[in-house]
Amino acid sequence: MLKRIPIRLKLILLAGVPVIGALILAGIIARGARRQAESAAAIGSIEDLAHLSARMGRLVHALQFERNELSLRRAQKAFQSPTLKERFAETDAARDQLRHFLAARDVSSLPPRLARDLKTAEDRLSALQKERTAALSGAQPIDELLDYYKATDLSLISATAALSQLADDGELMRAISALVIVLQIKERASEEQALLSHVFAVNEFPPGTYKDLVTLTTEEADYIDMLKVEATDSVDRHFKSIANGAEFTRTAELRKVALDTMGDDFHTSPEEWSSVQGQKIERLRGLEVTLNESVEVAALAKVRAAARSVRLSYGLGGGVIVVSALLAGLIARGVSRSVASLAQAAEQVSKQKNFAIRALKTSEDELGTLTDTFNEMLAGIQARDTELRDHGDNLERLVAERTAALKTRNEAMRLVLDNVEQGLATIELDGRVSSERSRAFDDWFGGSNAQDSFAARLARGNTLLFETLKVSWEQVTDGLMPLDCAIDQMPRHIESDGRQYDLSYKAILERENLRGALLVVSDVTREKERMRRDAEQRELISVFEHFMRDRAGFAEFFKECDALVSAVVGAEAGKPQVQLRTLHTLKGNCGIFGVVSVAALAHRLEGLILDSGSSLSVEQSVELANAWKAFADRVLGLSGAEIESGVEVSHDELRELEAAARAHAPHAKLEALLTRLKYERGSARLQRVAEHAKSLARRLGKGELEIEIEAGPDVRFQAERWAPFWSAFVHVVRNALDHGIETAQARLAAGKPERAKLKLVVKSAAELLTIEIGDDGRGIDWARVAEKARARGLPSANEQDLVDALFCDGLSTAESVSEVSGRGVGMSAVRDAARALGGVVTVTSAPAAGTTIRFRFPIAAATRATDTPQAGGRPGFAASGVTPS
Amino acid sequence: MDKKILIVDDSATVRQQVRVALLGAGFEIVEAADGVEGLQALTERDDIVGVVCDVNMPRMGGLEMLELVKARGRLAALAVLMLTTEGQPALVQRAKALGAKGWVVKPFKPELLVAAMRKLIAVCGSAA
Repeated sequence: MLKRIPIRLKLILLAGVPVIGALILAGIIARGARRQAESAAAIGSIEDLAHLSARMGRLVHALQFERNELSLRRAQKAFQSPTLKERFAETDAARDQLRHFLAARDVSSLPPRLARDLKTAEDRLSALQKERTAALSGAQPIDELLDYYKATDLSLISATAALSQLADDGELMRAISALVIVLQIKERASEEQALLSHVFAVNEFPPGTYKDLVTLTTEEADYIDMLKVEATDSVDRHFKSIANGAEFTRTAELRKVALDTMGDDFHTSPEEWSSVQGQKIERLRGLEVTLNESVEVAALAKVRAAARSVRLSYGLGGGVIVVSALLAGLIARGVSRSVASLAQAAEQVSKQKNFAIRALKTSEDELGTLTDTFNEMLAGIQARDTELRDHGDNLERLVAERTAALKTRNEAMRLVLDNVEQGLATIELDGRVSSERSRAFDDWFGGSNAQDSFAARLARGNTLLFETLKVSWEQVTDGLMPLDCAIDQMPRHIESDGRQYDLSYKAILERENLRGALLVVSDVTREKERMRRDAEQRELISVFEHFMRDRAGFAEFFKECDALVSAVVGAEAGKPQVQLRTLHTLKGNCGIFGVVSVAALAHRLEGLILDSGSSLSVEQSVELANAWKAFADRVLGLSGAEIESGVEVSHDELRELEAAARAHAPHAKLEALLTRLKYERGSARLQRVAEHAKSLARRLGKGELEIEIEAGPDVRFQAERWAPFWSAFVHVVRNALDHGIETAQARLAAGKPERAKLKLVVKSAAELLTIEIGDDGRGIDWARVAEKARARGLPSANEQDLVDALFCDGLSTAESVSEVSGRGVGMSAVRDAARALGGVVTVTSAPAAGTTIRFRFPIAAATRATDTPQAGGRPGFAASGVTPS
Repeated sequence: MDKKILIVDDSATVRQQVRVALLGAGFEIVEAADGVEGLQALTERDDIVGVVCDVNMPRMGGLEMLELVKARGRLAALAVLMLTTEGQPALVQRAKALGAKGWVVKPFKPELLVAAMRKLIAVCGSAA
């Protein structure tokens, strides 16, 4: 409620508090004024009553002279005295005047004592005629007569004294008091006059009257003393002038006569007494009239002063109210103007949202400060608005710039995605491929907008690939495996529509949580093709080199490998173990002749057989057959004809043959020489092995070998018969290089020459043909071989057991499986080949010093050398080599 | 100490590679050449926390072994990591279904194998 009152009203109310104070003050003043007015009214009635008093004084005066006249005429028995009648008439006139005066006024409003005394006087006056009659009868004692008038006069004087009831003013009171005292003095003088007029007329004091006279004299003197106290200076002076007058002196003398005269003859004229005392009374009457007038004047003055005072009070009260109201109005206006100005400004600002508006400052007080602050605040807001607007403009510009930059970047990104040669796509956690992909990706794997799985996209119907991608991505997302490890298991290479793609994956992390992966697909078809061609080229060059260097050796290699491939592919492939061994031999042979394509495939197929434990599938077999055919086609194209094993003849042999022919050597000799030419020279074979070893050493990172060849000049090998052995011998070479010979660093660390030594020996002595290969490598770890043998349930009791174990299928001490060796297949193959030729194998090995593997073949049948391979015979001693004599 | 790993592979070469990698990482090794030996090792010892297991092995393959281990209620707490060759999703899925926690394609990177084994042991250890 109070909250809704406008501030102007509140301020007026606030200012109204002092106004109310002022009003109360004015009220107090007004009440005082009213009292004064009431007092003035009372005094006004005094003024009026002074008139009453004057009339009562006149009546008293008339009664006093009537009493004296009656007293005198009664004593003289002159009841018909005209003077007496005049006195009666005078008294009656005064009485009538008083009656008229009272009749014109409301007697009940008179002061109670005045009214009472007037009533008493009136009661007594109603008996006046009776008293006069009684007095004129002469029978009434004089003292009764005097008492009647005395009581009547005194009741009238008392009524006059009652005037003082109306006044509280000192001066007025004094005047009234002085008037009453003078009336009392005059009454005593009048009583004395009447008494002594009678006494002097009858020449005696009636009984009790002397005492009365004394009392009167005393009382008069007392009143005169009182008057001296009460009278003002002027009244005092007036009275003194009367008291010092001749009348006073004479009357005092006459009274003294009356008092002092012991006898009854006073010798004093009652007329003189009456006259002189009458003059004295008249003089007192004069003072009385003066005093009565002074009462009236004082009352009038007081009335005027009171009226002035009342006016002043009302004026003052009114002034206070007006001034207060003005002041309140001014303050309220001042304050409300400031507030209104502020409110108006605030309202305008609120409605128009215009912060340029300012409130008008109308004062220098706190509201002025408030206005200043408000204006400063508006100015601040205005400034901030400007700043914000500027900032907003700037922000819009920034946003526009940033948007444009982003657009440019997106376009650039799109441009990149459209032109990048790689297939880029992100794989989401659920395996779906995201919609943002490079064009290459869509070109390769279909541009469907559907967010199908990346596995489906990449596999394009290849179920195996789809499943592989799917399970490998599941492993990435299931979070069990370390992320990098799981990603490493994702397929890295796929083939699709005859094209080859390399895949790489980059995990997309968000605060270390996997969100997906970036898939980068590179079309490596061309590169693979180039690499394949390069490999083919290298392979061809290598093969060509071998071919040129050793046509016979190459022809042998080719024939053997052709047979091996047929064996693997053919229906007779048989058990996985046999297939594995054949593949291994094929791998070794191809490795030596640099036929990398077939060697790599053989290695892979080997691995598949090992992993699955079963023979090759038809597809795998066909793959091998195709690879070999591709190689064969290239080689045949190169050689231009069927690979045929030729015959190598050295110049020495040719010269020897020529010499024999010229010398007409026996036919048998010539035949022997010619037959020998059909066989392969041992040195040539070792040379071939050495070449292979060197090439293999380089491939294995074992550096350049130092190869020592020791070939008996008379040793030749029947090619077809020995082909299986030499084919398997490759494994021995490979083992030596792969496992026996250390790396250059290891050799240096072991204090050995950096270049490893390999010694190849073919020699014949007595009945034995010896083929050996020795290295200066680390030697065989027999303890390990023994361990392996035991693990496989093979005998390991003695050295021969261990040598046997060493050549056993599937036993390898190799720490790693390489394309070259390590699967424990090769050694058993070479032992089998040696056994087929009746040979035995021995192994000599010393730790850190090297290993020598020695094959010994019996040459019992050397002299009956024949080009037909021998089989059967005593095991281990089948004819295997020839040493023409 | 949770550090004893069983290697089950018929290839000594593979076992050796796994052994070298894990020994270097502070694990202890128990080797088995096939599922039969692996099962025996798991039966005899209860301190094995992880298994690196080949799939194709003579006598008893990896999956068969897992089946038997699972039947004995031992698999849940074992960190089994399968060694597979590329392109064998069906085997992988079977192995996973049998409770193998992960798989790694041969030839593997030793450091990844070690990291995988560590993590799987941690996961199985906290799950057990």
